[in-house]
Amino acid sequence: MKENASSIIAVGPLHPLQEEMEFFQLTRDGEKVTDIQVRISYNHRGIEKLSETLQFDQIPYLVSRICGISSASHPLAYVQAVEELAGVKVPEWALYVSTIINELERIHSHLLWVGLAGHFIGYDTVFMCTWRYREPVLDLLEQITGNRNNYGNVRVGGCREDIPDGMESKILQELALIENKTEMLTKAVLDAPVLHARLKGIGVLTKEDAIRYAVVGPTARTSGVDIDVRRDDPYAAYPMLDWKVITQPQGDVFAKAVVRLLETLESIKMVRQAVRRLPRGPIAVEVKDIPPGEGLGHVEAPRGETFHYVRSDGANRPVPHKVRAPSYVNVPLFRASCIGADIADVTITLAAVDPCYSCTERMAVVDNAGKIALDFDRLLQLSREKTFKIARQMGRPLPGGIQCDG
Amino acid sequence: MVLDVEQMLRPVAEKVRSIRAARDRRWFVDCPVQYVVPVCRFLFEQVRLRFVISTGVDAEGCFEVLHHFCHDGSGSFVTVRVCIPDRSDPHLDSIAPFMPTAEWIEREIQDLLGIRFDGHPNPKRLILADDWPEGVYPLRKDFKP
Amino acid sequence: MRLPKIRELGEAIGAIFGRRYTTRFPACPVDVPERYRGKPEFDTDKCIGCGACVNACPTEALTLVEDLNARPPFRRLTLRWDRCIFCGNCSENCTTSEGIKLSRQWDLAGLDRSVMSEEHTFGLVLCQRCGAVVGTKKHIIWLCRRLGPLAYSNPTLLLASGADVLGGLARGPVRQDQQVEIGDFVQVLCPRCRYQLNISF
Repeated sequence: MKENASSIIAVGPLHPLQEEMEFFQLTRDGEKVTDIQVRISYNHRGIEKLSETLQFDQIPYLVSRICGISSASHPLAYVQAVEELAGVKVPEWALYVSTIINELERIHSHLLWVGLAGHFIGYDTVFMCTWRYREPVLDLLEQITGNRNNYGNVRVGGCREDIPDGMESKILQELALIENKTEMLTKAVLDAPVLHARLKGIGVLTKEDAIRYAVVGPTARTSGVDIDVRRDDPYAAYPMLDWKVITQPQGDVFAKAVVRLLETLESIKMVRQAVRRLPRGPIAVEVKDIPPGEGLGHVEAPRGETFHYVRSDGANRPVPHKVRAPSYVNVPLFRASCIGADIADVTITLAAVDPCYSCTERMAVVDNAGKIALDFDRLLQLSREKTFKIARQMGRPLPGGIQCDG
Repeated sequence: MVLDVEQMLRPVAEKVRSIRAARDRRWFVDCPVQYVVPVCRFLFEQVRLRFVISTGVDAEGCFEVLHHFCHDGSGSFVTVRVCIPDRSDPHLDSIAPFMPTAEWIEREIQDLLGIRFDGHPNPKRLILADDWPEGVYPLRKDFKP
Repeated sequence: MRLPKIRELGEAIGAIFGRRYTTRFPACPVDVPERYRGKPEFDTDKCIGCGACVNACPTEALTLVEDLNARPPFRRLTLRWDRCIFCGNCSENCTTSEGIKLSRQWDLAGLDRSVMSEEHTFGLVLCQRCGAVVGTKKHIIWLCRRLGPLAYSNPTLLLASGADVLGGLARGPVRQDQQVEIGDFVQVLCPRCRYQLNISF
């Protein structure tokens, strides 16, 4: 492979508005990918440095802005680390409220992923459908916490807002609708022969590689690695609820879709149980000051384990505060799952890990001379064309409502 | 299930300075600088703990590097703590050659704290821009923006 | 040409005549839930200008400026809602818990950042001995009301809160280098000077 610095610059404008900038440079030989280089940190925001300048009670608002989709998991992991360090016991009601918010977040995040995955392989109807059913979840979160994202509902010692009176029935009602649609979607995915042909055996991550790369979350669970922080190191109200960890042994993109859809159904079950059992009482305890010490907190975010390490020297600011988001360990495995793959499968393989949208947008294919051969739009088109080809070979209608017989 | 870290670390006991349980399921293992690779390798390859992340700390009088490992069966964290007393030229043996996940975080610590990782397979910059001045490390205490 | 199935036809007709899912913003206003966290708003009657919200603000959307040389000395709180992240930490840490509240106003977009701020000015009470800030007038009056008769035990509170009725506070030159005098007991003093006075006599 020939390194060519000028080709990297020419790839395209960076959108500083989108988070998690990453740049993938694929090297191809014919239709096969021979190498993949990942560059990150185009928009490093210095959260860990900034965190050292803020007080312990201000940091939840900062860390919830690390990721818009995981804006309940990061503050919860941080708060758990600080509570561990200060030896605080959180009231039960607050545990249930955090569980409900975190599971609602997982529902909307997984639905978002299913929609994007559909979009990448040309099923735009799925995209529209899931995003439409994701919207009521965001509305519920808005009614509970006051914002669609960046809920800002956890603080050291408990929660800020409870579930308002009369909200329980509304949550149950919306959940019934979402469950119905998710079940329909799951059946549609499991029954669609085109999807089986398109996604099975694509982007396989073996169990050995999953352990070697220490991947987390649904990405690990689809490769048969049975880990889930909610069960392994119980926090919030998860030990009080009845649910199961979904795993699949195959490690391909199809398994990832199935795991995410089934997890959405599990999450709906969990929220329903939590809402029905919601205890009442104090929602937070006052935490006066943070003693010197160190605490670790980890939370199962929709994409995997979110880890926070906080150390205090007795003042009101942390020194230091370390954050590890799940994508940090999930993204390097692209070297394991993409090399040797078909170029038309790369978009969906990269998307299957569920990094943020912007990750996959900043992508370019470099041919052997070091020139940019394909940009993201072209790769997306390739990915969709492959689906259409499979559909046509199987004599099936084309997906995405494009009912032309061309 | 309760994890007995002292029992678990018996094969590398002479390479470890102290083992301390900070609280339930949170273990801290103090390790001398020269043994960080054998201890981490033992934890990762023999005990098969999951590597979570490393933290670099600009502590009083030394640089600390914490390698956090997670034992998923019991939900326990085992943190290998190394103190690097040499502040003028801090360096540590890299664990990335046998643990690909550690590759990014070691490059990150190298960028932000200036701790060199000996034997790293790809010791290029990760976080800082290419035109960032040499020898300026943003996470150090004496950094002035 | 493949003929559409009855189910697909039903869906299509349903979609045409069904209720629109999107809203007609900005032609129609959008209602937000009760708890919505929108633009913070000061209650000018209830806010005492203590500055607790400024300390709690994570993004420096709230800032505090004091001018001790002005006549009369004042403190100015500035809220810049273009920097605000609507976290609600200010209202949660408000001393009176009613001085600043998050409204449901959310449509704050605009092209000119310079107009996206508001200022509130509060008169300050200074120490008559060293010139340091004791607090805003409103803060001291609020404290007196809360303390009730107990406020009579504190000359600073009593004098400062009644100053307007008595025709204002005397403001002599700052006499920091001088010894404390017994007469200083009936003066408005900052906690430091009060402490010095108490240990001297």
